[in-house]
Amino acid sequence: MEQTKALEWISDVFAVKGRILSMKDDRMSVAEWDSLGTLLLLSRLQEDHGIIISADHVARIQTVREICELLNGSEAVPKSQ
Amino acid sequence: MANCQMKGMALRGIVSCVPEREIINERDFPWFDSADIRKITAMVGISSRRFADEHTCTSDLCQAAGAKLLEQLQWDPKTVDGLILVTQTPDYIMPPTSCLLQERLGLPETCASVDVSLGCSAYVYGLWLANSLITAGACHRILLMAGDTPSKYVNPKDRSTALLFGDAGTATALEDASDSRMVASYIMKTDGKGAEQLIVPGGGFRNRFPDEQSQHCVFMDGAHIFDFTRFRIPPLIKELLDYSHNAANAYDLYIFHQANEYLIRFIAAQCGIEISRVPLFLKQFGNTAAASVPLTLALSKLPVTEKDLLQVMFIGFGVGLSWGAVSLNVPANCVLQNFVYHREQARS
Repeated sequence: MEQTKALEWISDVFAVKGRILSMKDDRMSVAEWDSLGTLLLLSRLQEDHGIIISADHVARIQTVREICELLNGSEAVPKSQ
Repeated sequence: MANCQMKGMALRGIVSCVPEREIINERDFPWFDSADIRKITAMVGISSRRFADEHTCTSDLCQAAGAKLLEQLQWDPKTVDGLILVTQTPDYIMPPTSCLLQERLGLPETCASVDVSLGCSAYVYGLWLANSLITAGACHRILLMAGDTPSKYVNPKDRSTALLFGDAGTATALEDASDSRMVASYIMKTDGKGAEQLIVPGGGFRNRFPDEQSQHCVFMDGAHIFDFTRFRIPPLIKELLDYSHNAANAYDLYIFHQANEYLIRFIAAQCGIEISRVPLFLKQFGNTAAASVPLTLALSKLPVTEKDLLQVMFIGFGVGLSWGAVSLNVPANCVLQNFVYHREQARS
């Protein structure tokens, strides 16, 4: 997935207000990336992209870059399910 | 192993009731961002719920449903010899709320009454217990009450839970039908490792009077509950289809616990279930915990058929973690009704 589209999609998932996330963003810089945000990410990965990963896996993701890598099938975290 | 087949129990009717106060997610939570509300609503499929007022408890809703059911079936209350209340929101820690209901419904002293503490799997477990008692000859007629008022344990400022739950009470009439061909197949499961994923941590006897008020409210680890549902429920349904020797299209209806519309649709697709056989009422009533499954059947229109018995699968899953499913023959002429509970009318 093209990087710009991926960042827009991630911003939409977390319902980030007033900006589009960048590759430098992480859990600390995105207030909306809380437990509900994690659930929304888990759900939208499956619903929009058919990517099924576990809650433990998604909890280990710390950065927007890692989500982009997951969307592009190049992430390094092993799938646990 | 808690897989079993039992004969001889007939479901004669289900009556449910919901409080009159309607809560609309997009209108009644101005402290949440409207975009957040829309996203949560889109994911779980819940737009509105019904909340009981401060004077209305689980017992009131279940009593109203039970009284209406007895009237509809023309059952003399004195003929009921078992009452099972399944709830996570009893009126008191003690006495059992089922004892209050026994008295208020005019059931006889010879009626065995018991509370069972279960939430989203409540109805399946309640049917399993009732069937066991009836098949064993311990009871002839049982009222199975399943109700909850989760609005009373939700923190309205917690966006993980505030938009999901609603209140409802239900009553189901079950009786001995040992001369019938009705068969029920059950699969029941438990995994206590997930107990803290959905919990009200305070107010019980482990943490009687917590300093923090939020400890009296429900905490939900949504991501792990999501995982539990999507990874455990499709195998449960497939196991029950195998166990009952039925194909997916043999069922007239699949009555799911109503927690998340997206997940229900996902599970149905995984199991080869036509979505037209899956009633959905999350949009109007949300997740009503113990009441969810019987409320959904009470609200459903039974398919038009010449069969006298419908094949229905009930699927419950959640707090505990606890989950189970039952394949049940439901008479096509059983009473199904839902109504709105008005406290003042109920008292008069």
